[in-house]
Amino acid sequence: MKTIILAAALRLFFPLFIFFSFYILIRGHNHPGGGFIGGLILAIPFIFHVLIHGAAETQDTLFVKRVYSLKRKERESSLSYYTRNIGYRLRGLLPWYSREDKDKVLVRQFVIEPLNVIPVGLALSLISGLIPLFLGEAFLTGVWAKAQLPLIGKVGTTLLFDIGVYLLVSAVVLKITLVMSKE
Amino acid sequence: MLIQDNLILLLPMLVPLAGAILCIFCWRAVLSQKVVALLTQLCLLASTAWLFQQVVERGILTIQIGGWPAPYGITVIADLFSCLMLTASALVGLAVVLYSFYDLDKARIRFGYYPVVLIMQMGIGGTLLTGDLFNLYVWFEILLICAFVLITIGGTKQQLEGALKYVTINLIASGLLLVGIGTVYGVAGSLNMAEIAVQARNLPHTQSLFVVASMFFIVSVGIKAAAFPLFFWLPASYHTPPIAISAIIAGLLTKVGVYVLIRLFTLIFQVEPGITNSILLCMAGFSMVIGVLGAAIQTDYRKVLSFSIVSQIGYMLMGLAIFTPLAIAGSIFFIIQNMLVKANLFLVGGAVAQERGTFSFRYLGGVYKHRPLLAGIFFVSALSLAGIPPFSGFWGKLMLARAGFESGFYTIAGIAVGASIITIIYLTRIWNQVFLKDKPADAAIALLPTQPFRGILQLPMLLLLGFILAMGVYAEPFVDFTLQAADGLLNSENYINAVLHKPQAERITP
Repeated sequence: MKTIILAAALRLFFPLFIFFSFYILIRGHNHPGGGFIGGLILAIPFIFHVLIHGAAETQDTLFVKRVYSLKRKERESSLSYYTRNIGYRLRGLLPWYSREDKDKVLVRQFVIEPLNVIPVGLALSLISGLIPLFLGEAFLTGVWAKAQLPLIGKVGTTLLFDIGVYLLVSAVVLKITLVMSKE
Repeated sequence: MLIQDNLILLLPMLVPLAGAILCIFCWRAVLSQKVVALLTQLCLLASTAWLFQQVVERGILTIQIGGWPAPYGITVIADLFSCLMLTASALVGLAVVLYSFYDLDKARIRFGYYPVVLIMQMGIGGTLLTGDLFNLYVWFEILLICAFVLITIGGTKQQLEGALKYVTINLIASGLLLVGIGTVYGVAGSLNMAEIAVQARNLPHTQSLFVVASMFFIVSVGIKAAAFPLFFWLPASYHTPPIAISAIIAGLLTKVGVYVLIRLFTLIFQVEPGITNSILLCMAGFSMVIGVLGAAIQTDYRKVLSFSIVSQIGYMLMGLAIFTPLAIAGSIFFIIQNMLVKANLFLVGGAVAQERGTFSFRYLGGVYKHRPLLAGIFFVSALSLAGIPPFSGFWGKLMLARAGFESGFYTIAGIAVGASIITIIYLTRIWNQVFLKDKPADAAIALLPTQPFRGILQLPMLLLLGFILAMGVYAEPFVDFTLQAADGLLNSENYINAVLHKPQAERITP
């Protein structure tokens, strides 16, 4: 289902979905929302991406972070090569920077595998339950920090629990989508 | 003190969960998963032993999750009965995980065998320790999902067929369980089991509704425990997966169902014991008879054992139906010894099949000549299952039969003795067909992939065998524990008081 309109729209809506899922995650403490629904919302743009571009390309573009380096020109001094390269590598960290240079070489690639996010989410939730144990409270009691953060508000173990659920749910949904669409 | 209490009651759930998380972290690394799984099993066994010791010393222990007080929050409670079950299930878990190191193929391990087994053990811990009805349902669902994954893992055609039967019938059971819980909640206005028990005793006009709810529980938990009219899914699915999976499911899951029946019918549904107990009595009798008859005509090692589970479930329900302290103690003793024996028999079958590549009597034979130690392990386990005097099954059956004759239930006690004799017959048949008769000439036909025999596979079996022998030869402390546990179940005031934070009437003394 390769449609240009959907693809263009998705490019605009992608950050929106991500911010909205964060918002839902954080407002979950006193209002409807939280980790589970936030995780599902986070997965939506990825699912659309899979629908439009196919699982292989989604994995290639969204789940792989490639680090490029410049090729060394002939007769270029080390000093000039390294200064050029540092600037190039730093600019490469910016997400919107497009790498059109012809003379680049792939140095390293980081692959994010949803399967590896699942235990992280589980572990965060487990830790959030264990923290109150060591403060002399019952398992899973909400423990709150005194200070308030701007935008987020009160921070406590329940937020940590929700973040764990958020990661777990989005990773499971993504894993299922990727596996199913490949078959 | 609080942090310690919190920890000991939660460790049987948290240790497997932490182990499962670590196992998912090393998803592709089979060796690390094995190491993590083994360490987790050892920690789990240690933590259940610690909980057992604390409960024996201090009586019933409770905590409230999240600090919410009793009728509103979720209670976690450990009494002697749940501790006995926990320890036995941790032992079976350790043995099966040890066995799976040398038996299970890498493909299945890569599909997450260890994390799923560990999460299933967390579910078992949760079911045994929870004091909240809805929480119980959630743990049951976790068990169901894990068992489903374990049965289908590897995805052979036979497995998928078995899993389909298993999941369909168990989903229906879960729905019925939910209806039952809804009814109880509608009547008692609470999901805390102790609070419901108080309500059931204080509201005489709601008795009929409690009876209706108890029917839902009998049917739904009866399906999960594979009791008489509802057992047909079990022989159809338990023989399909590899033995390391069959053994843990067969050893643990149905017994957890029986645990829940015993817990609920001693604590909550005692308002009209006449009706429910006669239904349970019928289920017990028919389970014993149909189970042994089914086992006697099968010609596949695993199918014989699957049917034999059904008949053993009958014995366990019989104790509950007779409802005297001795009968319930007999039930508990029987459950504990059956978990160990049944898992061990499955493991023996797995070791035989690993070499021969089949479970069918037709192509098996001569194991005694080649593997005398394996044959010896089977022999002792089988005698324990049948209940021949010095071995552990005898004491359980003796307590049950004696309780039956003492309280006038002659029919069921007679059926129990008769079923016991048929049990000896089908075990003798396995002994003759698999171990004693000469290896048939066409035995080379292997249906499953074969590997050369490894002596180390017998290590977990010897571990279980040690405990089986101890329970038989040195039965007195075990019988004492089961009698105390039965006492605690029948005097549910202690349980209720421990949950609702009134001073405990009396503590269990070792």
